[in-house]
Amino acid sequence: MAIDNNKLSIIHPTHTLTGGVHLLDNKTQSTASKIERCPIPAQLMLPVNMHNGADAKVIVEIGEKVTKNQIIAEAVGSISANIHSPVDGSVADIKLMPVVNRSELEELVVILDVDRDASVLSIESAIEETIESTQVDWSGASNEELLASIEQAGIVGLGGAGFPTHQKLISSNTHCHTLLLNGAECEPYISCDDILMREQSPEILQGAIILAQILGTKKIQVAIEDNKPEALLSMQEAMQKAMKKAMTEVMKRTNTESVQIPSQTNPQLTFELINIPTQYPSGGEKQLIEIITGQQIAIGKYPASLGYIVQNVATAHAIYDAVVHQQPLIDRIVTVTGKAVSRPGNYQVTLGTSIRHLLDFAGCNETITKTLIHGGPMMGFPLASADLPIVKSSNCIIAATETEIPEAESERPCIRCGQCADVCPASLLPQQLFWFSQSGELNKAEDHNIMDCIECGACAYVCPSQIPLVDYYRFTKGEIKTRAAITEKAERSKVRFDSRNERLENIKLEKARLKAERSRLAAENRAKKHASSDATANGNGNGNGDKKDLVAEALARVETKKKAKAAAQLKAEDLEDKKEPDNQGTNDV
Amino acid sequence: MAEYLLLFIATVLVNNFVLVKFLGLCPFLGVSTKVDAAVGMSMATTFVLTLASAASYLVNQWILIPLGIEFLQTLSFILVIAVVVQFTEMVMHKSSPVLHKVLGIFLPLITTNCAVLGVALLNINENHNFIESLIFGFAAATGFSLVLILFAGMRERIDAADVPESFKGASIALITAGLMSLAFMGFSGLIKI
Amino acid sequence: MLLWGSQDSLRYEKNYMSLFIAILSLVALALVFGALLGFAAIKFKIDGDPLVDKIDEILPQTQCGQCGYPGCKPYAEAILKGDLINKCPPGGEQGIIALAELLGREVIALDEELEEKKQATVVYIREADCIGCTKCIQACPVDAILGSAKMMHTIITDECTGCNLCIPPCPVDCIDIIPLPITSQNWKPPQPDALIPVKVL
Repeated sequence: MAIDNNKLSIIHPTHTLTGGVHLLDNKTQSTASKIERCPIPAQLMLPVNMHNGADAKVIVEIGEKVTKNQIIAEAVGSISANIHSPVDGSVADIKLMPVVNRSELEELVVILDVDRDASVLSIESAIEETIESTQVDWSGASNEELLASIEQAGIVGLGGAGFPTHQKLISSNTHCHTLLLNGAECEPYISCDDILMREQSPEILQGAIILAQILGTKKIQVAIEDNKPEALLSMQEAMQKAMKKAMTEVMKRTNTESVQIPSQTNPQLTFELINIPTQYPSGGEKQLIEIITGQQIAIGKYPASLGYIVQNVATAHAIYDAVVHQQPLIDRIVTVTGKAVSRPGNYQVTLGTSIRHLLDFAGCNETITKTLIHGGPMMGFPLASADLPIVKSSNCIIAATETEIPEAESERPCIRCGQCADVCPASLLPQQLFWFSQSGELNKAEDHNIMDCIECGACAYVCPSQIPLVDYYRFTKGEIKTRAAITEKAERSKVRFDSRNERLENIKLEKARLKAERSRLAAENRAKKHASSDATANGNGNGNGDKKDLVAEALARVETKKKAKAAAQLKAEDLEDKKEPDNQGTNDV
Repeated sequence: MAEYLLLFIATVLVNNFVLVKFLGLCPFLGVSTKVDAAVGMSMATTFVLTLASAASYLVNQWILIPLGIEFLQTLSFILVIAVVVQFTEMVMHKSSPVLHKVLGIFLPLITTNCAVLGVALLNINENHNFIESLIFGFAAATGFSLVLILFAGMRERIDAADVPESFKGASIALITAGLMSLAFMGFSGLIKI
Repeated sequence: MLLWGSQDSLRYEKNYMSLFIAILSLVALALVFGALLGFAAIKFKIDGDPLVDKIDEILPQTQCGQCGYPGCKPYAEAILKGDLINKCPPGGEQGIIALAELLGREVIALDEELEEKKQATVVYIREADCIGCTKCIQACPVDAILGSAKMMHTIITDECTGCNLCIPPCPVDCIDIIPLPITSQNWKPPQPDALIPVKVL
């Protein structure tokens, strides 16, 4: 069979990012070496919430033995993810502990003692295991089965947001025509996606093919910034191989001699590699689509409205692991960098590994570390201590020295220069949002679309007065969300109050009705008695008989009254009991 | 036709009632704290001004002049204006009670708005015919609305800005109004009436 | 004045006439306009006041009764009738300011006799001490207590408004007031700097 050996052409989009800033990459420090496996420590700390959504529910007990890949916390509700044990071991403790988060609140963590004998400790056995691991032929699997694997594996967006992937796939209601893999990695210092693409592009593409099958999309695009030439090359080769393979199948089926690359004749899939100019924050979902298509996604809408679905390359790789190797999400690549680290690079780290352990392995000098940053320099946040676990959203740890990240200058008054508006990638008005945040005008801030702010930090980066703009926006967003929550609760309280009043009214009316019924019956009885006593009186004609009758009547009246009261009481209690279960609501106490 | 257009533009910009003639300053400062209230007030004033301007002209033409009692102009115009305002208040209370509550006391104060009486009297002074009176009234209201809404927009921004303590509130508002007035006086020479 | 004195009789007469005409025409005008307004008053009459709903929307719906009225709606109606707007502690200063803005009234401080709520609270029943008497269930204005006679009572935390009306009736004093627990779901990012106080004329 003759196959045209033209190289897959790389597309350069004509559109550019709105706004954005050019930052120093600082990535070469960590891309000089290959991915290294960080050894598993003696204890792993797994928080029950490593994703965007509801906490997972712990299903193991203290002291229980767990095996590798066993689910130790189950997803709760639709926006949640499973947590798996990465090792064979036992549950040492389940308690509240500080974890990696902006709020510095303690969260529930499952602490596992690692079983030394059965676990992977050395690099060699890690490689061995990968080669020997299961390889499942997923070509016959249905979409539901594939989605179930992804859900089971607890896969979340590994680009940083951590949104449960299966939910994202299910929610793209409209049929999407393109799956876009986000390999932009625009934030400085972070290079985990770059290294993954250099070393494991075929696996990433396999993951993409699985995703494309689930979504029913026909086009797979991979976007990579131009500061990653090795990754571009690697992805290009992988795409060519994938297309060749697909072509071979087409030719087998159709019995043809030669097919051109890139193949428009392949009814199955098209692959496109897009090289975008390096700019921050071109890796944002909406920003990437704007660069590629030139169209902006409307406020409140998602990329699905333009027919795109975006996934991070690491997420695609995790999907490949889940479906092909039946491996849930138990580790990830973390970039460890910063001047305080003697061996900066990318490490394959098991989830739950203490950051201190990772930094020790990477040769971090604690004495010269001034700040420990989780994430990148633009969107990351400082950590209070190093004894926190690596979680699913940990893409980078920067151990910065005094000179590397200097002390923030104090805020000065806004000079209304407008530079922030020039660089905003979401086409917002940061200056106006700042004034509204300052004066607490939540309505105006909401009208100016503060909820669409992606908190990229470009505005704060360029501000000549060193105003921490993103902190203001986060604060205002929090206020808006709280206000909405309070209003919604007030609505619920009002409904409950009104229905309670209605219920009490009904009980009162019922009581009154029964009372009326009773007195009506009593009057009837009296009338009957009177009629019969008249007859007997006429018959007997003596006063004694009358008196006796009167007494008998009186006794009968008391009897009826007692009976009616008892009946009414029972009925009222029944009503109350019946009404109680209706007011249960959500009982999560 | 051209004269009517000229009259309109002249009254809205060149001889703006609020910033050049300095009439109607009470609602200008009182209702301009929020743009929504300003818009509501503009609509109310436009309605009142146009109607009052026409009604005053008619009263003058058909009652005062034939009976030779032009000296009763001021008195009868005030009567006409008061009635129109009261009528407007009732309509507004029914159709938009929120706006009615928002405008509050400033709605009946349109009665004492010197711009309204000013328009009525100026119509006589300038010897306008009926059409011209109508256009003059409407243009005066448009000029008033334009300036009121612009000023309200500016005040909302100023309220959220970093104004020095001693200037906060009325002080900075009046200074801004003065600057606006300077700007609008630049329109003179635009049209020669 | 001199000119006035030297009027001839005709003009003198005409002045009386003109005065008479002036008065008559003004009266006529006034009558016509009065009729117009009277007609308008009847045609544009409105009954009830939709403002009650707007006031009720601002009130926090805690239904605690601290204002002296059996619920938020009755207080809203009372405010419209002229009652003071400073009687709602759960609404706090924010609530008073919002009411003042809506009604065009002055902002006044919260009634001294009522304590402002510093922090959102909910209640919690110590189950070990609960005797199942249902007194608290009957007291709760929003039915946020689950339970039955001689069965365990428990607070539905999501629905509890923190009004504390359940605490006095409890015969064994087993209900505690606890601050609303802050979780990662309801955590608010902190305020970066002092806010500019907005001064409205």
